[in-house]
Amino acid sequence: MSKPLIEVKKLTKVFGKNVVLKDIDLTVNDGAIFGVIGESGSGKTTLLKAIIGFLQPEQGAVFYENKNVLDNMRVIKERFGFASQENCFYPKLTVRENLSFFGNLYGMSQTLIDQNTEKLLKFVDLKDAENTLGENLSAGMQRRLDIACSLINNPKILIMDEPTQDLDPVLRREVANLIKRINQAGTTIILTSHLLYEAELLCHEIAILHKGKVLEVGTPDQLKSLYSKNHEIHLETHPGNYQVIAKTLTKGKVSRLVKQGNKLVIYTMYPEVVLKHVLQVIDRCKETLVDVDVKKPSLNEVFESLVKKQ
Amino acid sequence: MKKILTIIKKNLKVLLFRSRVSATVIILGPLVLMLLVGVAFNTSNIFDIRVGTYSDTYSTLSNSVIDGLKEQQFKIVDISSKQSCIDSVKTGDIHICAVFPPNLDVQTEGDIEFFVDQSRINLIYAVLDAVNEKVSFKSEELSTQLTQVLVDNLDNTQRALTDKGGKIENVIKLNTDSKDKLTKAKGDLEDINLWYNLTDVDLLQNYSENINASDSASKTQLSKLKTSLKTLEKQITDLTEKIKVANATILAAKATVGTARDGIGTSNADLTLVKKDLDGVLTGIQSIQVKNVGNIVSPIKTKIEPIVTDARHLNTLFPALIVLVVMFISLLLSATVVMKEKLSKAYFRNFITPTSGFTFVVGTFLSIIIVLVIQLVILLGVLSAFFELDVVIKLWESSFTLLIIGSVFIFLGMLIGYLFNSEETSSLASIALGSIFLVFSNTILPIESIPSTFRQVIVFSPFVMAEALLKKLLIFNATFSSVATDIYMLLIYAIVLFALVLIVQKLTQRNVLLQRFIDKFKRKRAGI
Repeated sequence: MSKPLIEVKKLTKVFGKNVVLKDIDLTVNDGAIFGVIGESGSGKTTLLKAIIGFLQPEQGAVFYENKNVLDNMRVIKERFGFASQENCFYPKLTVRENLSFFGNLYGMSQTLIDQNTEKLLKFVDLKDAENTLGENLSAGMQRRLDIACSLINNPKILIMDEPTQDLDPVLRREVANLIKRINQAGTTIILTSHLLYEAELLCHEIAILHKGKVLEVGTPDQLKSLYSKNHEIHLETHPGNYQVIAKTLTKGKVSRLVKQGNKLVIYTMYPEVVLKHVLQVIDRCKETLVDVDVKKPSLNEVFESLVKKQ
Repeated sequence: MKKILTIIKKNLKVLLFRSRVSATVIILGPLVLMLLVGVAFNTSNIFDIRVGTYSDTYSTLSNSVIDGLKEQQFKIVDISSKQSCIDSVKTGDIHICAVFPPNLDVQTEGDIEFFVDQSRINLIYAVLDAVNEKVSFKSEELSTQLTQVLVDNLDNTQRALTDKGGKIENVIKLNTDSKDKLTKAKGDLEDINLWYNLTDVDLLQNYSENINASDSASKTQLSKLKTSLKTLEKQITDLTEKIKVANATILAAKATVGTARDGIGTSNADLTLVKKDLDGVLTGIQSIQVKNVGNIVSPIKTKIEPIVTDARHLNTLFPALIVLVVMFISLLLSATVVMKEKLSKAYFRNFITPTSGFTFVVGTFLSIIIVLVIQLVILLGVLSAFFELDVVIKLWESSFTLLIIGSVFIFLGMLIGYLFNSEETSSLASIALGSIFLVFSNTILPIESIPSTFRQVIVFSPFVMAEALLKKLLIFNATFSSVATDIYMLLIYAIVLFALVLIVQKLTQRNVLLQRFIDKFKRKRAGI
């Protein structure tokens, strides 16, 4: 069993009259990818910045290996890496120069900087662009460079604030893969995201944050089991006259119907019965089946469920 | 040290090598500035100065003064009335209005009036100086002519007196001779003895009577003898009488000659006194050493001479110009670099690295110093190559001084950078501060024109101190030890400002990031 690396205890942070974080209790285990999900403005970034000691809480404390981070800033700075929502590097320096610059600020030897740079360039797949100016990189490459900069000091913990924000689906996948590889290399990761499916895919453990409070913490499966008994039937037909199909469905067996793009999502506790019924109805309604998929409930549903309770 | 070098390398790359605009401004900026300034001020003349003139009646003298002004590149504008002339100064059509008294000549009472726009005080002093010089020249010319007449007269008097002095000397000599002769004549007269003994004639009579008694000689003969004797006696008596008269006359003449001698003696004494007086006057005239008319007119000549041999504006402006460039470059560059760093997204990453604020401050400072040195090398190179300005005088001392001056302004700029929150406000603050330093210095107006209470503060302005220091070093060739106090003062400024920068950086770094974060948080909360 992995040991706790970071413990957040009764953390409260206030900006003026706004209570941004209230009595937060969290434990991040060594080697895990810990996700903090929540809506925009829920306090995710504030939590991360309190963890690295940038923000001083009004109440409570953050402990790294049982030491208060605020009393051990030097250690925290040396052992933590932080990838912000924005790309924190110099656009007028090349990829290699940025890595070398931040390596030097960490007081690393030139040999170690060179070694780490080579390793990271390959790791984040920027070797071919090592002499390109930061500003000339694509959005995905910039994000990867930023992550590389936050890894230059071989951090024990990497904190990532919305790592896939503003990226297109292809780049998001690219970055998600990178995060996994970083974690596999032994780095504990704490990340925030408002993209729930992404967190679900990446994180070992997730905390759901809403209006400064942690609503629930657990593995994605734990959360889904706790808060949703439904399955999702994703149905796509042509010409897509879903209103007719919907009318035929028995209300007692279907919890909810949502149209998502070209698809109809049917939430039900009885997926087999409903699916059988739907397939029969399609013929009668003169619809042609294009695609059908049955999924377990997503984190999205859990989140919505939890937020609704609030 | 390694961290500082890394920061310097990064700053230089960002400032010089990676941004064409920055590099162009940094390298070409001072180059263009110097070329422009050099071309503009590499002369001692004042160009395109228009002098308006008015007189009810122009005289030869006033025309002559105007011709003098024309010779000195002034454009002369003849204006129809005094008021129009004054109004033209107000509207800026002319720079100075000269009103000549009607029929100006040497005997005219009244001054040539100059009307100037005091708001252009720096120009006016220069123009007035130049115009005055021309007018003074004419005035001196006239004065010389007048004085020449006086001196000529004096010279003639001297010659006449010298001549008369000789004549008086002759009179004295003649008088002396006369006196001598009279004295001699008196002596001779005194030596004449006309006295005779009448007893001898009686003896001759007695003898005749005896002959008569003893000898029966012809009575007739004897009678004749007797008669003759009687005649003789009578003649002698007459002679005696005459001699008596002569004797009396001689006595009288003797008295007269004595009197004359005394008179001549007195006259001689008087003439001696006159000669003595004349000699005194002559000696006095001869003792006038300055016989040159020009010297008499202006015994103490005033001539405005530059205290350095090269009187080009560029040369005299050089220290102020260098300090000005150093001040603005340092202020703006350091404020911009600090502000760019603060606004950079990498600022947060820098903050979370184990690198102290001191390292960043020193790194930034040294980066700007390097850029400043590059600019100064370009700047001095241009001045030296194109305008033949000797910039290597006291090279090491000047470089050291410039380094301290630069440091003061760099730290001031950094302070502005750390205190302000946007690039615009920090640039504005830097320019404003630079302008304040510039306005309250000797560059635009002499600080002597400022009230003394205020002036006592202004003399401690780093710009004023720096300018004065560099002037002493470069123009007056002062030794390093003689300006040590000024250097120590600037060093103290630099140290105090460095400490302030460290404090402000420490206080503001977290706040800047925090404020940025809070603003972003509020925007998110508000759903913007």
